[in-house]
Amino acid sequence: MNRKHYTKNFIILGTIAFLLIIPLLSSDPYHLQVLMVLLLNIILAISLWVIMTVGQLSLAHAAFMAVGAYTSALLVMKLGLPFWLAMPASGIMAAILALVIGSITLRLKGAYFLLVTFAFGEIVILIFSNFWESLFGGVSGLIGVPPPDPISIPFIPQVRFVSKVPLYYLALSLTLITVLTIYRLKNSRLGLTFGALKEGDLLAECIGIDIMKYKVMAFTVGCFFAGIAGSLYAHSFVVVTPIDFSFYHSVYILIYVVVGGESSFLGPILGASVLTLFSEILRKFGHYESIGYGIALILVMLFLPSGIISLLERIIVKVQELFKRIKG
Amino acid sequence: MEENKILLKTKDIRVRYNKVEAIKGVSLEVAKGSIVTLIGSNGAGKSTVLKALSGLNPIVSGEIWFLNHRIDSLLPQDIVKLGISHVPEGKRLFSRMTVLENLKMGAYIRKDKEELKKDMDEVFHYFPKLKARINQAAGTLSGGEQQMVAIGRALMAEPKLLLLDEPSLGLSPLLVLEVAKIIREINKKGVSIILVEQNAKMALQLAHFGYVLETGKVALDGIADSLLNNTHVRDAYLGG
Repeated sequence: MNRKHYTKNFIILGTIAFLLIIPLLSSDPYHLQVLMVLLLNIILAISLWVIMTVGQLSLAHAAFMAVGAYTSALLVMKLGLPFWLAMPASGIMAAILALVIGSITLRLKGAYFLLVTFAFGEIVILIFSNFWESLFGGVSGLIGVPPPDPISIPFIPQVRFVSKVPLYYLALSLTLITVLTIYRLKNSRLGLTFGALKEGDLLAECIGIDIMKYKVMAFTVGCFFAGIAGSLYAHSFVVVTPIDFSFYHSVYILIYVVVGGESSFLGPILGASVLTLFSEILRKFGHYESIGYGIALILVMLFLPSGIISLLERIIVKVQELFKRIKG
Repeated sequence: MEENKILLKTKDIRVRYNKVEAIKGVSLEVAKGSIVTLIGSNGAGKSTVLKALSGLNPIVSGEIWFLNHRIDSLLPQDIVKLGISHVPEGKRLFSRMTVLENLKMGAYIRKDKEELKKDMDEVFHYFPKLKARINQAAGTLSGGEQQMVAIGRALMAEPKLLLLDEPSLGLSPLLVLEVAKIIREINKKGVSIILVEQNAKMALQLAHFGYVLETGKVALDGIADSLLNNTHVRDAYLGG
């Protein structure tokens, strides 16, 4: 068991180190752009996973991201707030909205809650596209969202977000913070309680868990990080349009989690990474992109029903066996 | 029964289950320190009564009193805190958690974390076999062991009243005897028990008092020994 952990830790640290030095290896803005999308998708997938640990599904994750993106962009553009205040505010805004929606609707079980989140997602997009056009900018959205304000960090020169490189490091830092926070949460007493809800509502009630409270809590925490991702998106990519956060985007986030492996913490991270790169490769084929994507999904579901992560785990075991044989 | 010796009392409770009236006016009494059994055939409403007591299935009318509290409008978590611990039928364990985690979850509502260790030791005293399996996922245990973890989990909440739903279900005759022995031992330590059973013989041998439920009503009640010798009970539930 310990050996397996060593290998796992080695892979994780190696990946982080690799991500850190990428801008030194390639200064191609396209590469960094793809990686930033990948990091955003990791934040979205792992935060949706938090909601799924209590046994709920949400099809509004992209909508909560939209709430974060618009909140952040408007606070900066209209009120002149610095990005560093607007970003947490956007997370809090998404969380408050989730708290309200969740408190009302999380009593609904299974598919009913899923339908509510679907409807909510559509309503959010509808509001951003058609209402208060002077504020939200209608279908064309908000254009010219400024990059984050320059910051001073001790020991290094002032960071100004004028190129992709600092933006990439910002995305990487936020992703690491998100992943680490959720990892800590998963291993805490709260994480255990979430797991109890997923295993059985009735049983959880029997031992005295206020199931409603914890479902709302998981939903709120998950949506908070979706809001943060929205803020990061808005200030990294300059333009925010309602269509960026459509129902399809929510489905994609869900697919990252399921294809990566819902039962494991690393699953959603892996799913988001692999599928983002995969769709980037498929992009060349234009309209055929979604067909290729669909086929890939079917294949994964057929042959790796517990997600890509199970393949990785099998490979790790094989590699260890190989090492043993070499040593022996 | 004298008022101060009564732990739990229901007055004419009615419960709907899936919109059908499953319990049509049941009045029960549980004396402090006793084992009371509810027997009856499938669908008689035994499990529904337990779910009403623990708040999982709220009653439509009637009253439930536990010690000096009226508990029929309380939430399940508040009823657990008062000292009623329910081992439901069907899914009894968090199967993906370890035995230790299950026991810890059982103590979920408790604040006195220092006492936990002592109580955990007590659980292992009842179920010595579990100690070796402490870090094993509960879902991988045998049926008997799972039943033991479930009872142990319920004990971790320090209950005054334990609600056991079909503890003998799916167990071999030998294990049924073992579970019966443990139930008696737990009772001797001062925990009152309501035992729902299809195995009427085992239940009546263990219990002090019994109720026979038929289609949502109490058809018969009495001292457990007298029910064992009752002709109706013998014909209907003890196989003649």
